[in-house]
Amino acid sequence: MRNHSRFSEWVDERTGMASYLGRTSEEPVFGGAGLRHVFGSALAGAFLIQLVTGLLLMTSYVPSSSHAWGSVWYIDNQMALGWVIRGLHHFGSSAVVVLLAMHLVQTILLAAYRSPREFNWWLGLVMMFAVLGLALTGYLLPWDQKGYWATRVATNIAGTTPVIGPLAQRVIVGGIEYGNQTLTRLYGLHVGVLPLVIVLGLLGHWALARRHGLSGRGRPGKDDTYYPAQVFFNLLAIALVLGILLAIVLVNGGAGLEAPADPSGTDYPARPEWYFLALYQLLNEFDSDTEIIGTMVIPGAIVTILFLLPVLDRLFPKRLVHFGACAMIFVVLGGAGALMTKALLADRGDAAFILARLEADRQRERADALADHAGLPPEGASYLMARDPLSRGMDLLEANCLSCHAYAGKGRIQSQVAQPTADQLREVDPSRLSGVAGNLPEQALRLIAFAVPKGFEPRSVDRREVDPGAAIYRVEGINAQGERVVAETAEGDDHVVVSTHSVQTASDLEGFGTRGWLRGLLEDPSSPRYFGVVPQCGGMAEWKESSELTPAQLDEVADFFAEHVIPYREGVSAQAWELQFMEAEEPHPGYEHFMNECANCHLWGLGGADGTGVDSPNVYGWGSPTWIRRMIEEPGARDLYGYLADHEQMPGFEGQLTEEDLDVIVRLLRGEYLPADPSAGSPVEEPSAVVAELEASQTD
Amino acid sequence: MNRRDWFRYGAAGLKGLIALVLAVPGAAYLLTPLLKRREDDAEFRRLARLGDLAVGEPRSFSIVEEQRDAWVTYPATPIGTVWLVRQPEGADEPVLALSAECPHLACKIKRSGDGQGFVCPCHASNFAIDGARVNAISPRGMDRLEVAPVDPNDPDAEIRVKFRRFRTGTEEKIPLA
Repeated sequence: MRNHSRFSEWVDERTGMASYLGRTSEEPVFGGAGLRHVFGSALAGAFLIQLVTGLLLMTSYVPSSSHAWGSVWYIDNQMALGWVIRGLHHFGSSAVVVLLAMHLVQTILLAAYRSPREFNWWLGLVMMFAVLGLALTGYLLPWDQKGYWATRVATNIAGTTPVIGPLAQRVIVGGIEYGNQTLTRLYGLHVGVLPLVIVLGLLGHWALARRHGLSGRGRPGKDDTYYPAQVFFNLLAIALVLGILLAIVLVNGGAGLEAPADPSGTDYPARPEWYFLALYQLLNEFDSDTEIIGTMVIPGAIVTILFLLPVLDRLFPKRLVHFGACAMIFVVLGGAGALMTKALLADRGDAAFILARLEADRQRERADALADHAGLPPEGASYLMARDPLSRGMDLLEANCLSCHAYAGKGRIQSQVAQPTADQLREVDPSRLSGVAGNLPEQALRLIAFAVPKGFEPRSVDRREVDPGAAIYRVEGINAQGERVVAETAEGDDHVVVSTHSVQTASDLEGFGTRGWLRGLLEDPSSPRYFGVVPQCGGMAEWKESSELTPAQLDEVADFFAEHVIPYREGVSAQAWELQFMEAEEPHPGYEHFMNECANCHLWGLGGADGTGVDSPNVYGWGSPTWIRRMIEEPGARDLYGYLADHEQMPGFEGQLTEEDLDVIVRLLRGEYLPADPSAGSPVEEPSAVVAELEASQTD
Repeated sequence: MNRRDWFRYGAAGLKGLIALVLAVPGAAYLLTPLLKRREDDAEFRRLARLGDLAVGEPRSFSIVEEQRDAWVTYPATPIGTVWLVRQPEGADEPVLALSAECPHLACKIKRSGDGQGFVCPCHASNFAIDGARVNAISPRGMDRLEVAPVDPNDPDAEIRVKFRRFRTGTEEKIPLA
């Protein structure tokens, strides 16, 4: 005993604790203390780090599908050193998995599953499953894109278990839909059930380890006692692990958090944490009819053999079983390494994956900027992006509007990546690019010929030097629908980015419903920003030719709209509203100019289209959310563009968009959103920017 | 120092180092609420017009404000209540604004049954109509809030109040920031 104070004697008389610890610390370590005995303790130490950081995270985390993301974002961004705590916990799980593998390998190499240590072997295996369960449930909890999609995949794998699978899946998920009950259940497993299993298991594991002593050969004359020699090495190992963890956290700037879970999103490139990547790739190795071999049979067989090792040891020659066990663990680890490498390499060479990853990064940065700017809406994280004009609004605009309209000078640009195999390349007919083929090297020529759509008519070729020796080839042409198609590939690449640009046949929607847009229209209605590409709306251009209004007077018209028309009040009739200007002693000058020139066609309220024979939309409330919504939902109404022939009208979207979606589109048009970070790139990518980003991410 | 001592000191040092690496960020993390200083951005806000109030008839008004609750931003919601007490003519201030938060333990103060003053429903601290203590349960009288100058003769004059919170349980009125 090293501490003989009266207090410790008093405690010891009543508990026996001090003597017990004393006996333990005086236990001999045959062959001397050293790093070869540290693996178990380092693993326990790493688990303890997880326990401490996990408890800290528990004080701030909310297991709810609405608020899990927000609480994790708050930990990462608003709490003092919260990113360090979460980073340690996140990367700590990797440390636990790595140390677990080392401890397992060492135990097998030393054949420590043999009698009398069978129970400790089994206990260790049980804890291994609890650890893997913790590793899995842990990265689901933030309920970001990664966690959400991983939860779906993992629970669906569980669902393929014969007989009990579907029931087990429903119990874990808490129903059929993924949501609050899923998270509370996963959370209960992660912070309650599994840690309890491990803590109890550790107590037993440790007690049994003390009972049987450390394994390994004795080396005469080099014996130490457990304390302080071996304790020093154990602590050294734990300190080393913690140091490495801290370095990783600092270098990575924390654990990272993807954009909030979006069940409707289709292009999130879901990948598991690295320690499950081998299982992921194993699953990919099989087709759906044999998939269960990868998800259940192979992992199940390995686990069964591990559990049966002590039994096999008695049934068969010991040395043979030991050799088999060692061979198996190295084959398993080597195989896992190979599968992992294969998965990583496959993604690295997959241009479509990289593009999806870049998009996910953009969404993550946007979510971060939005949360930082104004916090989360009370309804939860999924509304963060759904109410953001630049995210949800831009998606809606691209899907519904940009095939005719433009936004900020750009129509819809659909970018696709083609990555043909060598066989496909050989079969390509390069004559498809006749006329421009001469300026392209063979590889680029075949790639582009493979990727461009049917009926593509090449127009021009461009070669651009990016770095000395590396060039980007760009072929432009027209597809069968008359849309501009741009195909780009960099020298030496195995993929092509093909972008199809829609043909603009309607006005540019950026700033629609604002004074700026209106003033621009009054200045130059024939610009492609306004009605230049819409011949059926040529009325404004006709007016402009004969208009006598000076620029200053046009400013006054625009001012009148900005002050009185755009701030439309629901429920006030056009006549009631107009009275205040008609009867004013000093009418607004903008109103007077309007009445002099514009009112020949446009009227307030039920105007020209209704029986007066004038062909123009009603502009009462123009630019207000109400007016824009009506224009989106029923542009062919009698008082809007009903005067145009059916095929000249914009198609109506009544019943196709929700209230929230309409609102977010209106705000996007009117420019009411948090500006994008200028360094993050524009929301609608230029194809060459896409290629450049691809290059950059592949050379990383 | 022998080999055993080296190990002993080494073990103690490593133990301390590990504890330190975990404890420092852990403490900072847990103590975030102390490290975060909220700026005192209280502004005068309009609650009523002078004509809305009668002498001897205190009325309560909600303070409605956008609220930031950790990561969530709530749109305008009531975050507090103020009692406005019209003073008789000739008083120094035409209106008193009293926070409804009890200085004892932060329960919400209501009017007493006899209408002569205020009472806190939690621990029965009583206050006079001007907010002064009647019994010694609360350590101080009701907290007066700053009122922008009001013209006592104009019934349309706006009553504008700066809402603040104060530490409970102290004799002195200490603003929370």
